[in-house]
Amino acid sequence: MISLQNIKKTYPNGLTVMDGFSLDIEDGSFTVLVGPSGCGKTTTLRMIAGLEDVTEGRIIIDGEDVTNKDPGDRGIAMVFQNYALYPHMTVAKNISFGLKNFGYSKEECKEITANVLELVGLTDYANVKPGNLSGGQRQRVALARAISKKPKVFLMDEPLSNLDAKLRVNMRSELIRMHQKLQSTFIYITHDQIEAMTMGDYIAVMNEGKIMQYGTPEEIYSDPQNVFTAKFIGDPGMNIVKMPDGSSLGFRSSKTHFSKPDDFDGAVLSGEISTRERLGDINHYTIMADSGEEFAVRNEEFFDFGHRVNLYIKRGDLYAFGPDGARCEVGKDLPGEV
Amino acid sequence: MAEKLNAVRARLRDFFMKRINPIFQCPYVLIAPAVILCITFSVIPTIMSIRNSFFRTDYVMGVDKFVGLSNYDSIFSDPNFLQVFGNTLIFTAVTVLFALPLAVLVAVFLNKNTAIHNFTQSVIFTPYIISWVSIAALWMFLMDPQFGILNLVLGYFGIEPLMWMLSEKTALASIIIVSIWKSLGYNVMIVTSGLQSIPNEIYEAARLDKSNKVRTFFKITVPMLSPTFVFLVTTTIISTFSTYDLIKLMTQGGPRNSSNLMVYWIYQTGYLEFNVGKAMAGGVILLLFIGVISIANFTMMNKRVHYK
Amino acid sequence: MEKKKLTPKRVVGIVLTAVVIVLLLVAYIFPVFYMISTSLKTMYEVNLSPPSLLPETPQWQNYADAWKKMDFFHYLVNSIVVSVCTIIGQFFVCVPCAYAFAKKEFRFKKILNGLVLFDLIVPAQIIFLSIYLIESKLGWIDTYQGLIVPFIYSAFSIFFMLQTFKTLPDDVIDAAKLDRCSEFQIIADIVVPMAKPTIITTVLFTFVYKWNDYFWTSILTTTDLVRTLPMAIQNLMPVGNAANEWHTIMAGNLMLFAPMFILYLFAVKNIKRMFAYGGIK
Repeated sequence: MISLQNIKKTYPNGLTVMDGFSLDIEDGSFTVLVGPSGCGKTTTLRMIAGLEDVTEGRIIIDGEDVTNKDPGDRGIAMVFQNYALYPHMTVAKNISFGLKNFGYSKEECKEITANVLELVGLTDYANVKPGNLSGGQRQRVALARAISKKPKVFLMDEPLSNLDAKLRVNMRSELIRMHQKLQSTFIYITHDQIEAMTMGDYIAVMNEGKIMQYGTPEEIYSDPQNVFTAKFIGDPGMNIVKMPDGSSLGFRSSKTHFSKPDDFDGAVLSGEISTRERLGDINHYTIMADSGEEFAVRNEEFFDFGHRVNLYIKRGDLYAFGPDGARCEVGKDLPGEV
Repeated sequence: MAEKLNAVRARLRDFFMKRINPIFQCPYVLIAPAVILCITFSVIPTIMSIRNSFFRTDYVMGVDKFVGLSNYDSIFSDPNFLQVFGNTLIFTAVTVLFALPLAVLVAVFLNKNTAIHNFTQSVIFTPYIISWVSIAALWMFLMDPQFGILNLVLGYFGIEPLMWMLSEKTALASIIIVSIWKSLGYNVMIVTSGLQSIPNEIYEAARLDKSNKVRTFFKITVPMLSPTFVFLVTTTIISTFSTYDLIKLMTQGGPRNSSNLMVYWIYQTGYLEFNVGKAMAGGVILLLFIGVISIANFTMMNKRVHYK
Repeated sequence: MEKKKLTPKRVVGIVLTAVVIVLLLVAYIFPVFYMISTSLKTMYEVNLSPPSLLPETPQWQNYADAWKKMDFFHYLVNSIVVSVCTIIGQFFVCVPCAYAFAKKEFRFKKILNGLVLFDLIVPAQIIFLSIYLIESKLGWIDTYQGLIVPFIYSAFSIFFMLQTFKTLPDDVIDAAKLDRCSEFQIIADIVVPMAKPTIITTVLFTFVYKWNDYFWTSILTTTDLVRTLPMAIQNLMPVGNAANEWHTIMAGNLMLFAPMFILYLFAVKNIKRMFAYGGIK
């Protein structure tokens, strides 16, 4: 179990990026920290690793307070976005270099290196230097290096961001497979919410140094606790309508109807179709509402550009947020037909 | 047995990492030796020099008296010093005005990537990495009035043999020739790098504008070389002001101070004549000159590095 | 590719270039050639006026004479000791310093950075008298440490290495920390190998500078005890009215700069690069 308690992070120039930050990470879980650039996820990861100082607060790993410990003594391993391989060493040396520091004998190092290379399928590349490897192969070497330390926690800083789309999808499943095999805790950082939703057991949505919501992917998707989470998660994110009193209503793009359903109780918004993409059965629309806002709508019905439509959203599919962005009950008065 | 060794090694490493390594993780520890040496052998000597220029110091007699500006007074009224200072200025001026344009010219001619061009560039660069001693010995031989080949060559052209370093009239000129000979290769190399950093497109545009070689040279090459040129001028000035080895080996400043330069004069006054205060005063004057130019050079260099 | 036409303008260009090249080659190769030729002459041939171009028979024993007369071996040993120790010293002083400035954050960093680069602004030729006085007080005149210690701090080395270290990726060093590397390991096993070209260039520069140094050796020594090669040639110079023994002197001179010349042949690219740095890009 990894626990961050009341973390405050202030940079030497005086800027405080986090204050009172707390997070508990489940043992053996695949936990994803997700959020836009600058939200503090990388800083958090680096503080867990010990690569960044903690101004105030404590970091507990497996019951032990590691806040002041060296990165190498915390029982963690890290995979970096740019792989961070030692460019002047062969693949095998990259792995065995650190192992020696951990006290393994020469023979043990050799054995572990061979095992770990087999695990990632790079046995044939043991004597190659990283410069001669592809991006995917380099990432696997970085992974192998991390696995070889048998850490309690794996930290991953956007490890797949530098790979091309197809490779990324493959590596995603490989990482999940690794996680199931090794049964260690994985803390994974990404700015891509799709990656977060598909890979994570638990997700922490972060923004501006704060956790906006922590939960399972299902909870985060179907039960967002604030406007930020609602808009950030989902492809596309939730549509948010501003109400005259400052609160907002939200609805998912697929939960809309163009014609009034029977026994309808819900909100009605009117607007004009501004773009349309045909994707087989489903059409992706953006609707320019009369209020000036734009919504994303997924629907089977086919309409032309410029066509005026009414959007019917059932009460059960609506989410309400107060003026401060926090989730609240859906009110009685809802926008109706014009 | 091997396990015991491993265990011992592990314990040692543990101790080292826990006790000793943290000391070296502190950046101040890492820079300490350099800072201490810098203060001892750069900062303190500079302060000492400046301080001593205001004192009359005699180490033998144990005298150390503050005399204000009298050292400066004495050097400005000392014809020797004035001549030496003048020599240094002439030396610098001739070198900058003659050697650098020459280097630019040569660089332009040698700026092709053929075997001969590269070979020639390497050849003329060689003297730069040879010590002054070898250069001085070589040229003392070439310039020997009786046995030197220079006078022989001059003879073929019907010119009277010169006394080179032995004559007041020609001593300074001899020094200048040797100095330029040594540094030409280096200067050419710097100019060449500068030339190669001029993008080709500019030359192509000039060709399209029907500019001939000479015009292109003056209107395009020269302006684009100006940062390189500035660097070269400042470094040349600094190095001519710092010339010592050549004088000590070839002429010892003579005959009659005609080839004496500032640094050698400081050596004579302070080291040989033990007139420390006076020597330091000269040194401070030199320091002001060079310091100002060095700072200008450094800031310009820094600006360009940041530009990239 | 179009064939360039042989216009009169082009011919003039080619001829001019050829003239320039020939002049340069003569100006730089002939002195060396003549030096070699003289080193192989007899005393009689050297004193011929006008001098001859080539010796009758090469007098190889001139070199043996020069070696003995110069006490070459003694100075050679000193040169090696001084140069090598300076380089080793710089590894312990300049490399960690450059690393700290490149990769670590601390208070007063900017000021201290300026301080260690002090040397770049003040050429030592001006403060040599004070350095002599300091070493005098320390009793370091005529000692190895006197010739080595002031030079294991080199602002140039620090500056040069600092620029390169700054470009090294931070995450590789982070990975090393996670690999439980000590600071020594980080510097020696990660930073230095990754900056190999710069390190080699710095070492070469230091070596050439120390090996060829005449200035400091003459200031900081009064006897031959620790003097290095550049001072050896003085032993060959004629004293007072003695006859010119140019053949021996040239032989000695050749032996003097042969090491540098051989080094140059092996490391042309590197040496050129080190001297060009700071001027361009």
